[in-house]
Amino acid sequence: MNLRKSLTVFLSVLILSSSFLGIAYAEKVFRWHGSWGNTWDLSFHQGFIWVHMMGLSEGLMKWDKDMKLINGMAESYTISKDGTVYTFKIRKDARWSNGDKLTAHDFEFGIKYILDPKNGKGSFFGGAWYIKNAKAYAQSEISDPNQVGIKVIDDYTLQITLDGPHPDFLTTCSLPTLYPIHKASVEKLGKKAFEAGNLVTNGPYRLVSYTPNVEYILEKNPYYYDAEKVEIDKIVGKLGGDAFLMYRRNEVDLINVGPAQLPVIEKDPVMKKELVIFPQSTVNLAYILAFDHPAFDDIRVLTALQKAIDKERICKFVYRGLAKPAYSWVTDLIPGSTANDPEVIEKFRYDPEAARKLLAEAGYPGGKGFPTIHFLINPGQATDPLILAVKSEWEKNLGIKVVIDNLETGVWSVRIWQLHDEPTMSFSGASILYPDPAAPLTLNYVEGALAGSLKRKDVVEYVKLDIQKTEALKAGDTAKAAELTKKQRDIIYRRSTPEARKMLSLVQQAQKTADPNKRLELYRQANKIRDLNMYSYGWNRSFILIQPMAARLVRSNFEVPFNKYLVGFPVSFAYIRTKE
Amino acid sequence: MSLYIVKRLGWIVFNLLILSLIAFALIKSVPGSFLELQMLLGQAGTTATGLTVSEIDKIRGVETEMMKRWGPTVPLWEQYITFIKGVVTLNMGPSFRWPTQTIEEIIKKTFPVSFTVAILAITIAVLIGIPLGIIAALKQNSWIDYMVSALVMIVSAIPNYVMAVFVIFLFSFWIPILPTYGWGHPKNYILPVLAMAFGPIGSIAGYMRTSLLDALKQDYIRTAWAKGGKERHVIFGHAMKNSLIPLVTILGPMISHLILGTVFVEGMFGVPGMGQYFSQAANSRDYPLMMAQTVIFGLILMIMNLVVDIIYFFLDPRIRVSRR
Repeated sequence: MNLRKSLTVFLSVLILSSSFLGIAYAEKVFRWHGSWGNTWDLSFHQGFIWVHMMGLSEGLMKWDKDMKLINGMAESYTISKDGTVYTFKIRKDARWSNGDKLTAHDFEFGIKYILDPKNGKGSFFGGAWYIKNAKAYAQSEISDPNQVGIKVIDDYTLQITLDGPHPDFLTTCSLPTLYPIHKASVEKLGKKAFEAGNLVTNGPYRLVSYTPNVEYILEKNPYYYDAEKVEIDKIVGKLGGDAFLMYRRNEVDLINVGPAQLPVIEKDPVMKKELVIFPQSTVNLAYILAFDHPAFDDIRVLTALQKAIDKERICKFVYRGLAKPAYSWVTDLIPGSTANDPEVIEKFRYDPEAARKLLAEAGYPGGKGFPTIHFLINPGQATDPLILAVKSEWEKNLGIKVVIDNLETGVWSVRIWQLHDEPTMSFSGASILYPDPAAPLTLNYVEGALAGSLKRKDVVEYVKLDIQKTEALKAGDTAKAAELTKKQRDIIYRRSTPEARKMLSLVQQAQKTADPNKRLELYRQANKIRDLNMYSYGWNRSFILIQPMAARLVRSNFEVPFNKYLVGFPVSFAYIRTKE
Repeated sequence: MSLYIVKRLGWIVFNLLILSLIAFALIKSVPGSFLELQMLLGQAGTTATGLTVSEIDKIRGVETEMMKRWGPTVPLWEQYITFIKGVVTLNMGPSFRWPTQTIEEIIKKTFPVSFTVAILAITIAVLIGIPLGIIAALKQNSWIDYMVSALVMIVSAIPNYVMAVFVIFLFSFWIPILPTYGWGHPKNYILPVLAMAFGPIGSIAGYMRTSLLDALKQDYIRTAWAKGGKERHVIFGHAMKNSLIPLVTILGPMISHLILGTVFVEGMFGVPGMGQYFSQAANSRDYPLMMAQTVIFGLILMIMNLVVDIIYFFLDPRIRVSRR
């Protein structure tokens, strides 16, 4: 073979093999739209905590793709006999994204940082509230963080003491309020430690760039202990723009779809194939605000209002299938839900005739004499067709009057907390973050429900104590503030309605019960009580579009149960696809 | 001239103080607070009854940096003075909504972006609008004039966010040569600049047409024709110079509005400019950012007016003469 021919063959082989290698090692990038935030500081609930959960950070525990709780940064743990002391052994190969070793000190620092009242007003406290004195510290009732039940035994041993047995505490160890924070960065840089370029995290990904309102980019963390299993090299999160247009232009791989896009997708055979649907643990509901009216003390009225709403029709036509009819406020994905309880289903089944009869029996035949119900909404809810649908159903089926008060967001935020003279409700969605019966009925939530059942004069007394407490704190008198807090708790616990107190009692019993079946039953009974005061319409379903190429990277994880618990963020564990 | 500028700068400072005081009073009297909104939106109904929330709110009131400047325990006059001191020393504290960034950092990052996009948009508007206006004026009452006038009316009437959608469809779908979203590459500038330029094109073309028609009716132009001046010389040598002066008046405020009035366009294209930050600040009661926004917008507007006046001084000899 002459030289020219040999050179040609050699070059051809070189080019072909380079192309092959290029394809084989082409960077795997996943681009998606969503998950807005304004800070990477974990103490801020409005920050990017969802992205932390999805891949930036990892807690002591985590979930596998079958929704089984497994060890994360903790290689093992022990629980004391009374269920209040958890001792975690941190894995010795755990590293931060800058190569530093991760130790128990980082967990202690992180949890106390999030609880510290000087930091963000994170409302996402979850399991942190179970820790002894955690709530008191976060609410400035005590000022010494060393009183919080977290102790570092040695560099790789962390001991957490709870205020009582909480069987779901381990699950909450997978949530952001119990994540570690890189102590050295925060001590050196303060708040700047949470900016792109400085942020040090311990999960499978690290933040490499962030442009506010535009996008963030995550890359594989080479120091993650399971780095070789992380398949996607880069994740790009787009924070603005028209998601649907971007998807059609192939600028993003995954988007959430709303009702407006469904008709377009249904007509497009390609997009129809790319649509993935799965259930979620979010319920759309209306909730009652603070008012006193005897009508709403009557269970017949509450039941009539429930039975007057055709949830099947609303979910089919108003939500276009984006929600499933809900007959309880907790979806059937959560243990302890009353969703499949025949008594509950029958109680809340659409029956306008029965609803009118109940209303008449309560003294409001044809809606005569029934007070006007006000719906307080903000501009973000103004286009929600559900609100108009509910108004229409109640007016049509019961003959009552419903007025929608569309308020500017700031004004709405003030009016929500006020005492109202007439029945007033607002609308929201409630998401349950993990499949445990305690998840929807946290003590914080239950206390809120108790407070919501107070009569006007008790609310006024409560608020007066609040004002006195502010004055006490201004004067630095924490002892007096603590005493006033006790008086407030007294009002909530003693003067709320019997049903609300019964719900609290059931939750308190459940928290102390080790028997899982008994615990489940107690929570179910508590949920049944709560159902009457919550007007649930639909359980959300996620409709997402995903590009075929990207689907190959993440599709196998899409139907995993975990994705149902994160509202609109169906990419958790997308990064971890075990190479089989 | 220097004395005039110094006097004007003095008035600017005074006007900004008045503006900041009025803005502070209005902002503080609007219902709702950042903390109430964040707790409400963060908890989304879980403590809908609110009492537990307000308890937490008040207890935490004195602790954080933002509360030390703006909290309910700080007297209003002290909040205002702290803000003014912060403006003067460029230490306005952190934003509520973007707590790891100070106001100065936000402005430093976003102002150049908004300014660049605004200047590019105005440049394109001037390069297209002026010739269109000239053509319409020279071909007055012809079909060309009517077509240009109709086009001017349409583009002036269409809001820039509608124009944004149009340019996306035109250049990302029908002729797919540009991305719909993103920042960091020169091609990312094209669509947002176009979307923002259309409105000013209409205004500039309209003004140019009117101004040129007015100039062409003046005696000195008749004299120029009578002296045998060629068309090009009469129009571009005499009429154009004078008809550009009124245009300068509108360009200054136009640039100010483009710098800060670009919320929708920034959101649609992913432009990391000031507009989105400031719009979010108002919705979330981010007091530091709202106050800073008001002062900056006022400053930009006043500086632009001053620049326009200075340019007038050099463009129009009658003003130089009258100043003597």
